[in-house]
Amino acid sequence: MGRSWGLGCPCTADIKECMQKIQPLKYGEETCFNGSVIMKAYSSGLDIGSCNWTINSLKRSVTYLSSSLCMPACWKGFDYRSLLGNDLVIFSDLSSLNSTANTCTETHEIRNNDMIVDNDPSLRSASALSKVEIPHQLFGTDETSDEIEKISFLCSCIIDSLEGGGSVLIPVGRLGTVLLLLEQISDSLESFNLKVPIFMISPTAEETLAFVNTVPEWLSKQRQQKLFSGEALFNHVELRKVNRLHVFPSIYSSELLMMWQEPCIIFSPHWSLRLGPVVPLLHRWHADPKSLLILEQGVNVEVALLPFRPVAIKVLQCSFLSGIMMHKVEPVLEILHPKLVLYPEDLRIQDPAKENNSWSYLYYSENVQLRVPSFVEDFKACLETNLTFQLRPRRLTQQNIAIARLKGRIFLSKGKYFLAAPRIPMESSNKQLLYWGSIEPTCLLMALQERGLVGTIHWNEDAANSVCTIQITNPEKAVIETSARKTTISCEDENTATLIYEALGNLCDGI
Amino acid sequence: MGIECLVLGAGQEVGKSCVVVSMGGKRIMFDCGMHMGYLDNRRFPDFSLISKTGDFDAALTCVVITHFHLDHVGALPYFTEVCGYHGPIYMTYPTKALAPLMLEDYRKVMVDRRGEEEQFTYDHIMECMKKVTPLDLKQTVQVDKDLEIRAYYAGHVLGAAMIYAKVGESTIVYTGDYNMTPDRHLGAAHIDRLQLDLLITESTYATTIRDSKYAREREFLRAVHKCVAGGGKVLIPTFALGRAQELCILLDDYWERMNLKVPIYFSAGLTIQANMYYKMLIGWTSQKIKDTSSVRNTFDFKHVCPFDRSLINASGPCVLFATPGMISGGFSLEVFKQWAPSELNLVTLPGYCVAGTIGHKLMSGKPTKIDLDKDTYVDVRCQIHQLSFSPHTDAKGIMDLVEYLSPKHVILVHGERPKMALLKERIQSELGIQCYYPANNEKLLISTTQNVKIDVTKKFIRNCSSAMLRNVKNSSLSISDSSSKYTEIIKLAREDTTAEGILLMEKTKTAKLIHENELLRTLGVKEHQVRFAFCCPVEVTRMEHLSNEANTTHCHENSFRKVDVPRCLATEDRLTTANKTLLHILLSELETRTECKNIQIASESLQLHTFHVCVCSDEHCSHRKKENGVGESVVYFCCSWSPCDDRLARELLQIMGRLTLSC
Repeated sequence: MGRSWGLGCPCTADIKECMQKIQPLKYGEETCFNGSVIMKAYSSGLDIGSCNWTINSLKRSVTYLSSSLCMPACWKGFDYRSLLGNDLVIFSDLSSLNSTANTCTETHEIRNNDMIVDNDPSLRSASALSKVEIPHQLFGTDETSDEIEKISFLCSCIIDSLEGGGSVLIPVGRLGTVLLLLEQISDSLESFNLKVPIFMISPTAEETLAFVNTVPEWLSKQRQQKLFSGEALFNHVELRKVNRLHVFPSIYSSELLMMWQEPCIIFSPHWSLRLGPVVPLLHRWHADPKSLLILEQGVNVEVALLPFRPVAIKVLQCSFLSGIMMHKVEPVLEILHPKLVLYPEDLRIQDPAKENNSWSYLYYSENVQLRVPSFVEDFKACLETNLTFQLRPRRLTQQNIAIARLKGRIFLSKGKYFLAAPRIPMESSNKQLLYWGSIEPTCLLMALQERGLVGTIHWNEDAANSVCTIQITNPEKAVIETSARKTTISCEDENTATLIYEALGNLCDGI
Repeated sequence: MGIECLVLGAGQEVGKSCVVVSMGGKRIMFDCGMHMGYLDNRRFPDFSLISKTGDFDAALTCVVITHFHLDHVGALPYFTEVCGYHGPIYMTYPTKALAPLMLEDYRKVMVDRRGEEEQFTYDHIMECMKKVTPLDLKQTVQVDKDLEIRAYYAGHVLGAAMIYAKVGESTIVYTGDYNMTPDRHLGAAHIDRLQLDLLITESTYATTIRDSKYAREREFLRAVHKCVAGGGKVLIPTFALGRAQELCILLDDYWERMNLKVPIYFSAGLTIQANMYYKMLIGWTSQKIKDTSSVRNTFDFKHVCPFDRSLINASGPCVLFATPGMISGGFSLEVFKQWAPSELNLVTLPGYCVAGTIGHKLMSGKPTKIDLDKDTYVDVRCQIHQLSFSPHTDAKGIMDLVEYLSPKHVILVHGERPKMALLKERIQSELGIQCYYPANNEKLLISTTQNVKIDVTKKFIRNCSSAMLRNVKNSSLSISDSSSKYTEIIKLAREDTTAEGILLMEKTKTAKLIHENELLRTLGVKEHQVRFAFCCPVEVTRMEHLSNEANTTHCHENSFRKVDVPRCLATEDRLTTANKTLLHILLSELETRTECKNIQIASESLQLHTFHVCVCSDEHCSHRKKENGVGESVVYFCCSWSPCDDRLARELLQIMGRLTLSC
């Protein structure tokens, strides 16, 4: 999802070079690192291309859960289904850290002598409404309707300002918010029959708008439906055709000056109010009580507006959902069903951990190393057929088990071990090398006799372990000493030794 | 275990592509096309072969469509809306967007122009498309717990995909149509090097090798230019999508360069609308077009405008794109009837025309008269130009893909029988891969090998990781090791790690591979050690040597590797010192005779792998052969070894039996 950054930035070359090192991935595309780690990204819904990860190594299956939105208006939503079944969830949605007290829209009422005090009762009602407890339902439409309500409230404020002859300045924050606002505002203008121009002033606006209209795969189902019914993905295409939206790379373009009219609506960077076209525009409108400035949550308004004193412009600060809401963390985890959750220490106080969870928590904090236990006892491997055919299983006498020696190649591919037959056939011997259990000397003597070896048993009681000696006299001389844990075959003649060894092998479990 | 392939269409022919693959209990239909050359029941695949009862939902796991051409998607609305398949359907985003246009265009042609009874309605198309799940490239989609599919870029037309499907360990790729070289607007097919049991590939150009397409493009442009310069009209019958856009890019660009003003028309709203889809789906075009899209979208054509029916008989030159491609009816036929009788005009034909279409008749020879039906005919005096560039791969491309993927089996579809036979021979002889080209409605069973899933203990894996190192070390254990063998073994070890362990199989459990050392504990048993032993007599000739001893030891030390020679002998027993000297002498003798540098010396014994030797002073040693006549000049070395080194031990014993040590 590479888009070129602002031109003229001294580090453009660095950025370009950096981007070249990036391997782009689609949602759900598998990438394998080092043959052993497989990573996949799935949409998180926060912004275009934003994602959560599943990371599967030989030992662990991990879900990295970042700020996620269930039903964003523009982008593909939180794809939680694809994250199921991993042992470990690294919970990294810190969105509620910033806005725990006020997770929803609220108007910022700035009580400062230099600034206006907005006592509009409608603003209050909106903030009250947003604090209503939302039903315990993860993937319902509650969030969406909430967001829509916020947007329409914003639109009504914007219409009010425009009707009062003031302009509206919207510093650009999240792309999704901008695109959504653009659509909603233009609809509102239409329904109020207001002929107010909308300007978008940014060096990357042109490219960005063109870009978002060519990436249906990354958009929400509703947007995709537009593709399938042959409409443009976003209505800014239409707005520009009918000259309602004008896009300029910078504020100093002559075309913009020719077209300039107030009141107007301007989308422009930067949300910090320190760079970009918003700075001169704010200098123009800061003292105009009819105009309206719309800021997203996360900016300290007082500090941001300090250079623009005295401030008479109306300020509306709103927060849009930017992650999983606190009370939904538990339901999300219930769905993901991990064994262990790594949870930020900073959020611990609000951590909703219940006793009856099927998973346990570990708390992490910045710059502190954390040891995470592994849940995997054994590795998984694939035994290839050609090697299976070479196995010679041996059934054990006592247990319901068969065992076989296995000799082959082992290699790692796509996060899995494979065992295959060796390229060059290896020498395989039938000889057993490992024995267990004990040997009954009389049985051994009989087995030896079956093989034509004649001998006698001598019991030797004086040793701590009763050792028993079998003397073979015919056809060759040999001595077998056997105790509970050890048997020694002493024989110069190789053939006789082999016969004895064979007899032993039949009596004793071994491999 | 095996993969069963039922070819319902495009078996030894081109048209109505449809292959049903069963593997691991899943059943996937790849493509659901119609045959353009037939109007009877041969037009659609014979779906009754999938399910006698017509319960297709139970019979199929999913349907995957590779691209929007009618011979790949044409029967889909019929299958879902008339036959009643309600299961999942997958196709790429562009295919989902563009297939309904193709289907509706075709339906209109059939119903409006030919007056035929329709096989499906507009609503059927729309209802059918609602059931489609769009796919992105390279995205792994879990159709259900066991079946995963993935789409790869196939070139050919916008959104064309090769489909990879995996059930358990069985894997296949169905290519659909593909192009191994990029064209004006699309990139070349691209796929990962997958491990495949089966590759089902198209083989339209099973025997053709094509040269550079630029020459053929120039030829086309020259023909068009010549015609319009002479005041003629150019009819380009094409499918609405794909070829039309490619030729448009070509002509638009040429018009710009040559500063031509002759109008280029698109026959209906359809193709103009199609261009809008292309603009939104620019991410699926070639890299070059994608890169320039932020400046100017290639599909904003400068010289192309919509056509009005009244312009058919207007005077003056023009270029007209009209559907359908093979002049099988519709608007292109209507225009053809008007323009064909004039020798000024030009008709271009696509690279491939299905038998039974007018396009096909024009291609075969140079007819002067074409019968439309019993009563009507058209005089053909116009020029005919056949486009020889095709969005299909040529024989080289097919061979390249097969070689690149190296599947265990190949099935050829979507081609002509005699050519397929030749290609099959090439694939089998040149690549050594089993190849088949079943006819329609034929069933093919391909056997696959099934890997067994096992558990492997950590200890086993840990041991394998250090196995390479051990390999190199162990390889020198053999007595008769030569340097050449040694390097060979090192090479082997580098290529792959050898694994050795014990597989534990219990009836109801997953088999488990463990390291040998883990076995006894796992089974809960104690080892019973089995060893061979022999107390070996060695001749010794004693000499007065006190002055030499230090020297000898010293010189031996030079040849020892990793030798643990005790340094403080002063406090040791005299006997032990003597024994040590004996061991050293034995060692040096063995080293010279076996050329083995790996014998190690511990405090009181020599060791080579499990073979241990120590000096035996027990006159009643039970491992001694009780024989008389043992003189003073014999020293006994008690040897013991594990059965695995029996051969090695016997060889060493033989050597020792022949030795005469001097000390």
